[in-house]
Amino acid sequence: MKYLLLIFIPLMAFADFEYQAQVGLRYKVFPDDDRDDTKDYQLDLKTRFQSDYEVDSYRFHLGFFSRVDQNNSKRNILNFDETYLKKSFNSMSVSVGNHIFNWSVLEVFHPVDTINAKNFDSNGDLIERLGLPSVIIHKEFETSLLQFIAVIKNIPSIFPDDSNRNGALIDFKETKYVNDDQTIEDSPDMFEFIVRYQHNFENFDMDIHYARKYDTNNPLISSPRTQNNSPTIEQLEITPYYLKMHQYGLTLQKNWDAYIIKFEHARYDYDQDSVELFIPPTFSVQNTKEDFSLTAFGIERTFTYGNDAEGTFFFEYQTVLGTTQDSARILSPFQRDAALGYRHNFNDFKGHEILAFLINDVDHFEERIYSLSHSYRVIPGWKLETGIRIIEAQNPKNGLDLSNFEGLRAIANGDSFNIELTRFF
Amino acid sequence: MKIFIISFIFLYQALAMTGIEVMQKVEKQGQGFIGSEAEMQMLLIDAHGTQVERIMEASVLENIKEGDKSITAFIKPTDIKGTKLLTWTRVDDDNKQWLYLPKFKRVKKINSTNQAGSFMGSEFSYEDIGGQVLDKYNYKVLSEDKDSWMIESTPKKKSGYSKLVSKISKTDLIPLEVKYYDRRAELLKESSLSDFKTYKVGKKSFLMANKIEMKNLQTQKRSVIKWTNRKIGLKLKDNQFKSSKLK
Repeated sequence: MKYLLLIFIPLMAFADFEYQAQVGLRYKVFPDDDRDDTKDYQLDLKTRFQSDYEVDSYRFHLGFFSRVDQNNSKRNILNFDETYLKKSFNSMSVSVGNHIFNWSVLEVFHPVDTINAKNFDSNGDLIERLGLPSVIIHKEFETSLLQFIAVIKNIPSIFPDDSNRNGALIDFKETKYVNDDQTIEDSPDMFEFIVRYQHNFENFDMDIHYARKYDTNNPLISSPRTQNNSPTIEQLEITPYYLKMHQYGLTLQKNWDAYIIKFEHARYDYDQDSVELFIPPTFSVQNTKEDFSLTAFGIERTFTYGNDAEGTFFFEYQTVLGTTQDSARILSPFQRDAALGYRHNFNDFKGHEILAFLINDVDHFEERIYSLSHSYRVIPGWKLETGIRIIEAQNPKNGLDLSNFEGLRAIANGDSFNIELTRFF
Repeated sequence: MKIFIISFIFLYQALAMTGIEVMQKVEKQGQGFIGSEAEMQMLLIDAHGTQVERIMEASVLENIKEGDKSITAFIKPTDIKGTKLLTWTRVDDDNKQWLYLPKFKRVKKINSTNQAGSFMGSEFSYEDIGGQVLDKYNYKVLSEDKDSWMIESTPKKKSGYSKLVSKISKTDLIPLEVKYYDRRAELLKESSLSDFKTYKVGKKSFLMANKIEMKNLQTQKRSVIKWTNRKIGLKLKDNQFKSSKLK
């Protein structure tokens, strides 16, 4: 990264330069949970910066985001999510550095959005993707493209700490990688890569990919044996384990009259690895992850109103396939869920916009998420956003109980209201 | 004498151009610019005179056979800076459009059948910005004088308008004014083109308006688009007008 940044300085003198920056203050508050060990509010100073420098066929992109929480320093982050140097040839290009990959076509469910590790301490619909150090070899054809992506360094996901109401209130230990011969190590030992092909047909767009990688988005949560046979919950070493997998992804989008029809599917085939799960005082089992698929489809329609306003309705459905209903609960928070949403754009001078959506579990109807947000331009360059999110799910049980990771239980503490003022440059 | 006059009328009508012939000439006059880039300033003015500014950069790649491709990159307001709209105009089908949203780092396909929608909150619709594709309308000459034709265009497919009436210059073969009628056939908007400038590509000259003012007669709102730093005859690469290049 530092070598790429060293290139940045001389390029400034010769290059076409464009940038975008924002600085914001965000206050998020949760209902009081009568616990002293959790933080009931967050006060973030956020920044985001992106710039482009182009000289001939070279392009240097510098992008990062940061956050400092005045109430919880464990939430502080600085990530150069998109910082790379790209060299273009005729119909090919090579790009080296940190990249973000978002090939999802849906608004709420994103089965294929697993290439980048995530900062799970961020809102579901605006989840922060961590830059993936990689080399992209990109080839354009007339109506398609082919990419080969070689991962230079694996980046683990970030999980909320045990005081953070955005998460499961668990103190996760350092991530571990399950390597060959079931060895548990602190770092990966496999070469990770992705191959992607995208084609714009006359009537629809298709995107397929194959990835050989560690599953940094959906780790196996386990706890190895401790020396103490009767550990307290704090003494258990609850650890996210990254397993090797083969991932196959497909997205399709088609315009149909006034609608857009979308389909997204991902298949996750795990190597036959397992890790120990210690159940005090004496019992241990081998914890494994089942192969499974996530399939989602959606439909969207936009209406124009007489006063220039525009409204978009969307409906989406996601389901886990290839496993039992009970197993599916722990494989994805949205194992069989439907989402209904509406975005209203007033198209007025202040750019008022409202987004509302409801996600409901089809099998466990008591589990749902309501979300409502509003944003508008206060004065040119300043934007105010407010939002409310209500999560209805059973609260997690005390202690290490794997059922705490089923469905929406892991985020059941996350009801919140937030307000954010941002200055754009 | 009567026979002479009647014969003259028939001959005149035989020689007078039809609406499609006029528009074919207009289209041909506008062909050959190859590619263009320009900065666009759009002013939105409400009925009380309050105005806000939008700034965009637009690139257009000419494709006479299949339809032009364009990218509009939004610069101002700053909260949408980095948003890009890619449009593939289709001569024989609905246009294809994609939108890059920097907030989500995602390219989103959008439905282009809803061309009646307002472009960035202005009085210009997507249909207005995208321009008229010849084969998508029926044409009729309403009247003509020594300087211009009045051409009525009726969309063949679903549109935000029941008809458009354009004043076309006979000398320069460009529209000077356009009146837009809503689906109830009531006059909705009128646009006027001005600040003409001549650009050359090889031996061919193009007279282009660098200012278009659109007035909504029903709401009294106005929008003005001004082009600056306009360059045509550019050999832009087709590669640049793909959804994968929006990011």
